[in-house]
Amino acid sequence: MDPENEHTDGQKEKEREHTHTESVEKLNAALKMTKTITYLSLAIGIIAIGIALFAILRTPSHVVTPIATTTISNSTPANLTGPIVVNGSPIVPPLSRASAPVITSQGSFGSRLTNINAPFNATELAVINNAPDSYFEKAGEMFLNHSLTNEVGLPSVSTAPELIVNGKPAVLYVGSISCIYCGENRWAMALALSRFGNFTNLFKGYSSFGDGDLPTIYWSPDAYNTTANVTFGNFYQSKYLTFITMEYDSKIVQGFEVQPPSYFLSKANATGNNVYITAAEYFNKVVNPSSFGTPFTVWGKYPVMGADAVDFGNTMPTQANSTLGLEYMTHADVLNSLSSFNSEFAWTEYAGADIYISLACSSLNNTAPICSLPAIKGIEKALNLSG
Amino acid sequence: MPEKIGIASVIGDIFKSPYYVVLAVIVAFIYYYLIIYLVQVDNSGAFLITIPSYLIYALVFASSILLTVSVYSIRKAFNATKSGLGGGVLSAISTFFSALIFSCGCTAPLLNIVLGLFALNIGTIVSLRNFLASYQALIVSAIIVMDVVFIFYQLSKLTKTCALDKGKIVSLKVKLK
Repeated sequence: MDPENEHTDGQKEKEREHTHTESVEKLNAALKMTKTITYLSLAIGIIAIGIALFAILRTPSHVVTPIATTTISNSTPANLTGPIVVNGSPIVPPLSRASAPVITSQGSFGSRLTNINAPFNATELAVINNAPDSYFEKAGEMFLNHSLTNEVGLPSVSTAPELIVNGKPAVLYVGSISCIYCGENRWAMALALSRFGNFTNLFKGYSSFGDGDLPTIYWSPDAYNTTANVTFGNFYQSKYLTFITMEYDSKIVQGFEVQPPSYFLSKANATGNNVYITAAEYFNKVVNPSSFGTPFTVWGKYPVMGADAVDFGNTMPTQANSTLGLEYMTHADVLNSLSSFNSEFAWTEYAGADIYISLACSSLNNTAPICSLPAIKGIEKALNLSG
Repeated sequence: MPEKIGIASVIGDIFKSPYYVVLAVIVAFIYYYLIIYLVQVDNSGAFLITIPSYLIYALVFASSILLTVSVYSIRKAFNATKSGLGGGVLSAISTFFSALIFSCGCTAPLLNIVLGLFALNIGTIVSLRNFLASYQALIVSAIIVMDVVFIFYQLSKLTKTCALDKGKIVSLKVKLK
């Protein structure tokens, strides 16, 4: 073998190794840089999500808490100077719907529609209309001394110009038959309204299958088979208040659905009824569309976003037990509970009613008899409501 | 030619290390309690969900594994760092987004605020919310599947990477240009 060639081959081999080593070192440096950047990017991404979460959660929520101190904001909605006065005949809905008949077949909890749209009989109506004042007083005391297990209350109270219908302050309800919170809170609303008047008819209903299938009240027979519609009107009468109801109907066997406030106005316009058109216009001005949810109510001069109680049974649902007691109750069970007044569920519903009664009383300058109950006065004081 | 490593080997390599096992467990706890917290904020303090609870556990499991594999990718592999970054962020986003649609969506949910950040009008927000509410379980299931698919994508990337030892390339097994 030629020694010169051997020497050359050896040199070349060394050069190749040197180049190889240099390349590996450069790659490792590049790798280190890339990893640093990648870790940084991952951290920034997750921090950004955390910041977004923090920003969202700082937005005032509608967390319902027992009220110790409450601030009132006299925030008049834009373009609304009031009171808004309208006179006329409110819509009277039909007592039955051929397209949404009463269902008599039994079903399993979570997917039942037994007696949907069936009217309350006289005994059942009496549970609501003739509830003893003592129940409202006792529940109000429990609320004020924080002895309720379930959450009842409002995060804050705001005011708005009143809607006056036929000379009486209006209680406005906007909701959805599919909605779980509307489902549990209509019992409290009905109890509250019963203190100022009475219902000649109420109907049995359910929230949607995708939203708990809770037994609830419908203000009138609802179109539970429709894709989308609004049912206006109810069977309430009172010398103190006018009850205006707008219920969004959708397929009850699906999940929760609702439409924006403008949809309710378009449907009200289609009815040609000036009371409901004015009420829908008022609703569109009072509500904050970006935070609209159901139920939305206005009790005289007090708009309330959401339910004022979290009442799905005798206990609050937790991560350890997310079962909703109310989902496994029938209408008869609920009415028995309300009439016997010996369960956390019943106390919560009456306490929720007391909140609404306090708002209405404040709007009526406490002229209704119920307003003289000590618990109601106590709640008005706790909420800092002006008479 | 790159060394042929199987997906099973990569999984074994990841989870035989106590570091990654602990990471997966910690991330799972964080995600689980994040979900609980967001659902409670959305429901006035109540843990109210309108989908089967096993979907929550499946989501937490899949997302925590995804984040763990992502961290492994970033630490161990040269050409899998991008997918590691993507997987990590996907893990966090999928958990956060799913938590917003676990419950009913009736009473002005956080979802409204999140969708509002994209400058959508209220009509679009409500339509989106209705869609999400109607197909909650299906959407969460799809998110879980997406997490699992991304896990396998990352694992497959890891099987084709350069051999590493303690985060450094020890030999060039691919041809340099």
